[in-house]
Amino acid sequence: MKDPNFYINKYIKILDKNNNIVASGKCTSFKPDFVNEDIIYISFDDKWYFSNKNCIFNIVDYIDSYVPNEPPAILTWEYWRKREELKTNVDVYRDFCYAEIDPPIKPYVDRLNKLSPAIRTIESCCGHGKESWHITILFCDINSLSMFLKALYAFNKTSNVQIELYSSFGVCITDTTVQFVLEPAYEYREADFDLEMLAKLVKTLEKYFIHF
Amino acid sequence: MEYSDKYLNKYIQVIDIHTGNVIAAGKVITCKSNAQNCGISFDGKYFFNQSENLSYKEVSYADTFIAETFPDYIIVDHWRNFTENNNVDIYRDFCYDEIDKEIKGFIDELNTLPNITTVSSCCGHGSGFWYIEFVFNDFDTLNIVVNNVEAFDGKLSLGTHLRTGDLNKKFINLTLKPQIKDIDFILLGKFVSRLSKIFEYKK
Repeated sequence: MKDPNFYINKYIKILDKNNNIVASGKCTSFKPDFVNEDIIYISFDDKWYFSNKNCIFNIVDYIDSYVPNEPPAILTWEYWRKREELKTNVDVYRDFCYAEIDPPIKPYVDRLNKLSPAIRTIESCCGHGKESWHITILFCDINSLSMFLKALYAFNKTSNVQIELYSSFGVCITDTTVQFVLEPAYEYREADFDLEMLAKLVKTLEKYFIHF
Repeated sequence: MEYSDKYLNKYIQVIDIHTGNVIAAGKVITCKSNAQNCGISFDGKYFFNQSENLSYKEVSYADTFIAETFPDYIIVDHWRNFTENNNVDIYRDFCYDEIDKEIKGFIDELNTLPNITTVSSCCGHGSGFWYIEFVFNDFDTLNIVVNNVEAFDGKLSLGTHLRTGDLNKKFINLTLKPQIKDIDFILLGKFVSRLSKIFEYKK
């Protein structure tokens, strides 16, 4: 299996079996396949993830970004969130991109991504402000995770509620990152209250990452 | 605050400030820190904090010694109560010999793996609601364990489920627990076996 990070920041032209261009540009992110480790999904916009299942990845020196509004009919695609229900892998996954983050949670996701270069959120949801929230976070080193946990422990110690960080069924597994989900561990009350707790936690995190 | 891990592997005497008597001494084998206290231990059972009553003195060597009783003004409490009671001189924790016997075989095997250290565990004496708390100090090992957990399709979880409050600077404490009932420890057995094979393969 090729290291998935191999494609990151490289210019790639994706061709279908008939040599037609499916998409192209600079690879910004990837997702693994959970069934076949030889298959990888790469993206130029963090929204459409094209696999090497029925396409060829050609690395080039430079190519303009081109992502169709929808993949060509020759390729199968499905929403990334439905991957666990699928019995087979598809050619293309559609994920939500940064611009599509639920507006009520977006300011907090933005702030989490500024804590450290070694911390990156990869998925989040708050039911458009009507349900509880969760945020999936990638950690790239032990110091950032350690600091995150210290701040989380401090928050939980001084709050009447508990927020947990725990491993989840894979969204993006690599040898150089660990992935955890952050979400309330208390019984759901109402969305506004949950977001208020998230705001307090983010403030605590910022304090720790700035001062320590 | 200071972190107690700086005393690891050093020889320390714990001195009763009021009498000058040594109440414990030896080589520091483990330590614990929370937001208020940081304690050192010579046996993994008693953790001595620097406090209004106790101080540390570093020495070149000291045989392991722990007083059988402590003066009344020295406050001893169980480590599991650390969130409720921070005004403590000595924390008492369970040590390795006190691990629930139903789970001990798994814990023993886990601790033989490179860079894997467990710091607490429980299975309700066999009721099946088990958890194992790990301490990680290197990212590669954490990565292997997290990926091994994820191979169980959400049936196991590693996270901040249990707050030990152990805030050592370089270490990360995370707790493994099943997301479904695992009365016969089948999931745990598979987890340990799979992890052992991964490390064996990496050799």
